[in-house]
Amino acid sequence: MNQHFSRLLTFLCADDPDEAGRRYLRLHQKLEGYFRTRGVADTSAAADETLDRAGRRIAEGTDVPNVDNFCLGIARFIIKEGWRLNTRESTAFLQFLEQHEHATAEQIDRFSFMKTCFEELPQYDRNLLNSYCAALRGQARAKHRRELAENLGVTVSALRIRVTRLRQGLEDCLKKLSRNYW
Amino acid sequence: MTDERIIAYLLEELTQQESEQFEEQCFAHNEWPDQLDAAEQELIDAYLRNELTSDRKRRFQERYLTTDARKARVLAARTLHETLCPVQPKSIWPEWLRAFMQRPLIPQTAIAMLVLAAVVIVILIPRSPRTFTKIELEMSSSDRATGVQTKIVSLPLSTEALEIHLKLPEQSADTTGYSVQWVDTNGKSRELKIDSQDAQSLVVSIPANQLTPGQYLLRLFQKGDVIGNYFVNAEALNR
Repeated sequence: MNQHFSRLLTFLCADDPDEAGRRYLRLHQKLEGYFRTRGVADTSAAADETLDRAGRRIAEGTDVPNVDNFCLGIARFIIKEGWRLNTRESTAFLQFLEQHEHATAEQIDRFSFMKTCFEELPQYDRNLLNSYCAALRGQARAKHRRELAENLGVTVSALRIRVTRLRQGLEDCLKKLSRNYW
Repeated sequence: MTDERIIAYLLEELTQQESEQFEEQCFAHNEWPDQLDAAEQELIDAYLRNELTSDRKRRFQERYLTTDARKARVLAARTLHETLCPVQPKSIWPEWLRAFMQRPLIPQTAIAMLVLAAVVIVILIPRSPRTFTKIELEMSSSDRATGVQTKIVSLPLSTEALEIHLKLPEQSADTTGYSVQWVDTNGKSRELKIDSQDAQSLVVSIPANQLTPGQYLLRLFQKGDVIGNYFVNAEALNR
């Protein structure tokens, strides 16, 4: 095991390795969220880098009163460095999307990976996305979503998060297919 | 944490101190808040639908679209919109109309006729569903769902449409001239197309997106006279 990683785990919870592991994963997940919000392509690698640096600093004896804020500080620094903001992966994806943007209707139909990805979803999720997308405007849209949430027996906020996750899944699928294509 | 605050953060409308406080607030949660992703998605949608103020639109382009990952997110959302939910931008339509009106008359007429034909085709020939949830309903002579066991259908359906087999009366010698009227949860009635029919039953279908929770009545007519009712309850499935 990497020495810094091991030092970080001990710092997170010296008495209980399982709890230390859980805290590590929680920190990793939050860092991924932070990097995603800041527009980093490879959020997992960026979170790894942050925690690696945190472990190194802790091993060097840096005083860390609040590990959350400590890691956030390192993550901000990584953003400032512009660390791997543009990865080759996302370049391929962008290339595909830009091609799509300038494609003719026939080409769009032929390369409609989004359709393929959408068709792979369970019918329930497809219906949900279709209903959610019946997007009107302003108050009518808000009303439509309220009614949809009511029909599903969930809150509007839960519905929104469910749809966001579905869309992120479609984006990942699109990324995968475009990478295979290019 | 409100959507407005999240959007202000994403568009860098907050001061540096406010931004840092916001990030610390997010980090203080047990998990990174899902709300951020949802609000960001709505921001992207609003940009694509041209619903942002001009100032926010400019900030979006200058302050948000600063990394490849974000550009990819926006382009992916656009692809999704084009595939699933066609966008009707606010300002493009008048601009397009203005440009269109300045063109010579003959192409305008030709394009208008093509558009009209396309609209008619889309309206008259809707895409047929390909997957169905099948149910069979017994006839009731009552106007209420009593005396027969009401079928329950869970919503949303896991298929594109509900296929309903309506059992016909056994003693019926004449099996012609049937029509089916569908009364929805709001009391609105409309004719349902009969997809197929044999001596025992006839089949109608309702698209999944037209079903909301509530009780539905299907009224069977023969040569204009009501001969029976069928009931089905649609219930929201809590997932």
